[in-house]
Formats: sequence, structure tokens, C-alpha cells
Amino acid sequence: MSSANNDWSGDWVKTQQHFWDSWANMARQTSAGAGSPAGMFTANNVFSPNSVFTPDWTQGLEQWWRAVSPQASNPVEEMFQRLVDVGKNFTKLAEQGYGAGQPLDQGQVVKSWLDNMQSGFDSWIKQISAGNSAAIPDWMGVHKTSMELLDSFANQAGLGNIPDIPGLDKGKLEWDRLLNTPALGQWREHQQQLQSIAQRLIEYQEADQVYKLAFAHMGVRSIEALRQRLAEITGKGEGAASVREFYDLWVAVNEEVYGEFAMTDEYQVIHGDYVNSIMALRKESNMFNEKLYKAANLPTRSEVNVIHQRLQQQRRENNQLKADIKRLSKQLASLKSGA
Amino acid sequence: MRQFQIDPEEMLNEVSSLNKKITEGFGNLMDVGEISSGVTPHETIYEEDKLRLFHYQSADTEQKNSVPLLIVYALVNRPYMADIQENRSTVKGLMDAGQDVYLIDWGYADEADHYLTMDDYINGYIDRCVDILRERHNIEKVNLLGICQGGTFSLCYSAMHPDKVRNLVTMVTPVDFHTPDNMLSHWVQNIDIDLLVDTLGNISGDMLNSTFLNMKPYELMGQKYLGVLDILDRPDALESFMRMEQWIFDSPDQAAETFRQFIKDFFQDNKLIRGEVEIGGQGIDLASLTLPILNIYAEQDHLVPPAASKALKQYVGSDDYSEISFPGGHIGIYVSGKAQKMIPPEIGSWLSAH
Repeated sequence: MSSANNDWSGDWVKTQQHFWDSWANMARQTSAGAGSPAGMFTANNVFSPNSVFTPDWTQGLEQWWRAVSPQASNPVEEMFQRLVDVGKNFTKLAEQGYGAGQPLDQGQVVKSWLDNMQSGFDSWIKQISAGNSAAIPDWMGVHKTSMELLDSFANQAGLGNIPDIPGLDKGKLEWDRLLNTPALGQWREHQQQLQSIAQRLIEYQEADQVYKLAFAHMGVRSIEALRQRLAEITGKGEGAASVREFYDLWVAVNEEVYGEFAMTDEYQVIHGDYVNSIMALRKESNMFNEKLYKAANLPTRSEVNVIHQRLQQQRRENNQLKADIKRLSKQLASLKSGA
Repeated sequence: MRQFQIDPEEMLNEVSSLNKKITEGFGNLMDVGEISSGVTPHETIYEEDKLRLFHYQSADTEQKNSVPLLIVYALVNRPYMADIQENRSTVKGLMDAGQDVYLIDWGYADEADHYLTMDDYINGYIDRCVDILRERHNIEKVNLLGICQGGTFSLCYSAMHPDKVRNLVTMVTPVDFHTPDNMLSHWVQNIDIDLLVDTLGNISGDMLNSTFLNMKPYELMGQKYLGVLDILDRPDALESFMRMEQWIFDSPDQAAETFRQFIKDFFQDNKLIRGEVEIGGQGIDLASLTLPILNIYAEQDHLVPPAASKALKQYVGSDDYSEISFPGGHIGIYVSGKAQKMIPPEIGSWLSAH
């Protein structure tokens, strides 16, 4: 890098550091007057029934990233997006610890934070059980990574943004009856296919609900495990001295609980059911799409596959023939040299 | 009770410090530039479809093992892991240990490769590469080094072509797919693989990556990146991290029919140790493997648990079987400083002695 660029880079970093120094000063000043929900403190602590204000420190990071991300290029942007995301999760952890601890003495901060997390999980379990929402709530913060992956799996399988079927649990019998109604008339086959897609959609949403419910219960278990681990640590006269230490402990406990859960028979079944339900739905919709392509006289995936399959078989035969010719040529050469 | 004795002011300082690290790191990351991998000079001596057969060129003229070593990498991820950077290169280590190294780069499968079967990969591509080396060196047999899934392929190849393989080295290679600690195998048992493959065709590398990340989601999706913040001010460490990151997410799609057979026969039905795998109409009997075998596994391997690799010993018919236990993980066995000092020299000595 040229010295001019170094100068620019140095100035840029200084400017950014100044931004964060100013931000920290402002946060401190706002913190001093945290009785009113203004500035960086907002009443967004979803856990607490009391009127405790939680700082919105993640907002600062988001604002900064929005401002600087246009200057980044791939793969820097992609990498940095991950760093910012994990930074936001970490900051959220600090926010929650800070918010939970404000009216309490320091020894009660963790207990309050864990109580709030647990009530959050309990609430999510109730929501899923009632079939009201299958979305990942924001407050899961650092805990939502595996669920994000789960959603990305569905997206990669081409099933992003599947609409929820409202009242699926309550109206299951009625839905089943409706979808089992015999199709009639000229468009009978078309109706049957749509019914079949709807049936697969219901099965997917049921599997999705079971999967997420199991994760929510695992979340509760991880809170319990963390309480236990903290009690053990306290018993040894040790403790977390920074948010980072607490975060590392939180990750370690979560991995343990998740690792055990992921090796259970229960997980094997619900994971398989979930993947199979996505694939069944995708397969059904693929078949429907193929009919549309055929109607428009466009090539379909099935037709292309048949061509690929035949071509591959021919290539195998060609390779075999080449090998045979080579072997025979050698034999011939050997015979000639012998003669 | 001392659990979480953090002054709120200290929490704010920690967050502020984190933000500053991110800011400084942004500048350093912008300076990283293009990341190179696959650093050892090599020439492509054979091409077929997407496959490239590399021959690594040594600068010194020291006497090499006259039997060439062919590295067969997994279809999952890219083979430059074995040659990721100057001071972290298994390939270079093997060359320094007197081996004449070749490597199969499988390339990136696409839908045109949908119907490539394990037979096409093993009795087709691998066999043709082996034949090229046999002709080039005017020898009957080559040495094989199979990595991970490439090790499983190498076992199958050696069982079907005993006349072409002199010594076999397997690294972090799954053999018994049903050991109790095999998370990937546990997850896949209830998945309808025919439905999956019939629906999706080739299996995307991104989907496999999601699966691998899900094995330790909190560490791999969160904690790891928080750790990066501590090295953002060290350009060399940052570049190494970015290189690894590039490799991790550089995942080729998997040819549909090969994926189908590998998951069903190996992961779900564990047919390899039962002698029930069939490839191109030939049965694979591990007991028929009587050649010298060096099996290397990693003690902290979360992808291929040590027990899955160590099982090889009880199924092969070789009376010249050795093991190396590496105190590290599935990736560390190629890139860690400890591995560089230990693994390639030991492989080299073993091959030269055989």
C-alpha cells in the first residue's frame, strides 16, 4: 500500500475511533439520566415486566455499519457483516445484562438476566404451541444461530418465505377434510395436484413447529444448565469478570446442551421429519412447475436429466472402448515385435 | 455471591472497546487484498471434464521416492487445504520428506455431473489418474494418500485394484460410520435420501456447509468471529484467518448420484465394514486389503470421530498396518504448526521405508 493510502487509512481509523469515543461519552451521559426513556435508552426490554430501561447500544453499531459498509467490497463485506452481527449479539448480551442489573445490586444481575431469558423462552414455547408464530424472535440474540441455519436450509431448498397457515392446529381436521375432498371435472388432475401441494405444506409447517418447539425447550434447558454451571463456579469462589467471559461461558454451556440434544433419538427423528417434509413439498411444487413448463413448450428438469443420464452412459461406454483399444493396441504391438 | 461482578461502567467500556476493535479491523481487512492458496508450484499433467491432475514441482534435486504419491482429496471442500499457505502445506511437507507428489483436484461439479456415480469417480477418474502415473513413471504400482472421503474412496479403489497400489495412507478417513459419537451419521439416519436427491439433484455446497456449521453452531457462527476481533490488528494472523474462511466456504456441489450412494450405503447402512458395498458391480471387501496401510486420525475430530477411522484396523487383511494419532482436529491435522512438524515427515518416512 502506498504512503498516501496509509495516511488515508490512518485518518479514517482515527475518525472512526473518534466516532466511538463520542458514542461512549454520550452513552455514559444518557446512562446517568436513565430515568427517562430517551436517547440511547429505550423501553425495549421485552423480558422485564418492570419499567427498567435497556440501553440500545447495538443501534450505534448498526448505524456505524450502515455508514461504512458501502466502502467495503467482497469478500471483506461478507466477512465484516459476520463480525458486525456477532458484535451486535455480544452487545445485546451486555445491554440485557446492563438493563437487568440497573435496579439491582451486582450479584443479582445474572439471576435477573437468566430469569428474563427463561421467561422469554417460555413465552416462545407458548406461542409455538398455540401455532401463533413460527418465526425466530429477535430477543433470542446470541442463542438463535442454529435456528438461523435451519431457516437458511429451507431457503436453500427453494422454500423461502412460505406463508403461515393461520389457525393450523385448531382447524387441522377441517383442513384435512377440505384437502381430501375429491376433485371433479375437467381440471380434476390440476385440483388434485394443488391439494397435494397444500397437504405437503401443512406437513412441512407441522414438522417446522415440532422442530422449533424442541429447540425452544432446549433453550430452557440451556438456561438451567447455565444456572447450574454458575452455581458451581461460584462455589469455587470464581466468577465472570467481564461480559466476554460470561459470553464464552454461555457459548460453552449452549454447545454442551445442544450437543447432547443433537445426539438424541428425538433429534434424529424431528430433524429427519423436518428435512423430509421440506423435500416432499419441494418435490410436489417441482412437479407442478414442470406441468407449467410443458404447457409452455419449455424444456423441463426431467427431460434434461434424461439427456444427462444417457450422455453419461455413453461416456462410460466410450471410456471402456478407449481402454479396450489401448489394451489391444499394446497386445498387437507386442505380437508384432515378437514376430 | 460472585457470579457476574461487572460494573455497568465496565460493561459500557467493553462494548466501546469492541466497537473500536471492529472499526480498526475494518481498515485492516480492507488492506488484506487478494488471498492466495495452493502455493506450491505445480503443473497440470492431465485434464478430464472438471478434474485436474497436479504434479508438484520441487526446487531441490534431492533423490525422491521412485514411487509417486497420489493424493485423493474428498469431494467435499477444495483440495488446496493440503497446500494452503507457504508455512502450512502438507504437500510441501511431503515433498520435503522425499515424496514425488501428485494431487487430484475434482473441480466444481454442476448439473452436467448429476449422473456421475462412485463407479465413475473411483473406477473412472481415479483409475485413469493412477494409470497415467504408472505410465509416466514406468511402474506397476503407485502410493495412494486418501483424505477424509477421499480416504474412503482410496480404500475402495485399493480393494478393486490391488495390482496398482503399493502403499495406502488414509487420513481422517471414515470407515465405521455408526460409531456412537458420529453426529453427521446420527442426523442422516431418518432422512429420505432418495427423496432429497430426486428433489434437489446435486447437493449444494452451501447446504453441506450449513450442516457442518450446525454441528457446533454457537462456536462456529458466533464465538469464532468474536475471537477474530482479537487478531484484527495483526495483519498476518488476519490473512491466515481469511484464507481459512475462504476455504471453509469454498464448497463444491456434490454430484447427485455419488451423494446418494455415499450417504445411503456408507452413512445409513454402514455397508463398508460389512463387506456389502458394490461399486460398478464389484463388491468391496476390506479384508482383501493386504497392502501396507498407514491410518492417521485426529483425536479431536468432530467430523470424523477417531473411532470411525480406527475401526479400519479390525477389518483389513493387511499384516502391515500402522496408525498415527494426531492430537488435534479434522482441519488442524493439515494446517497447524504441530501437524506440519509431525504428519508429513512421518508419512514420508513410512512411505520411503515401504
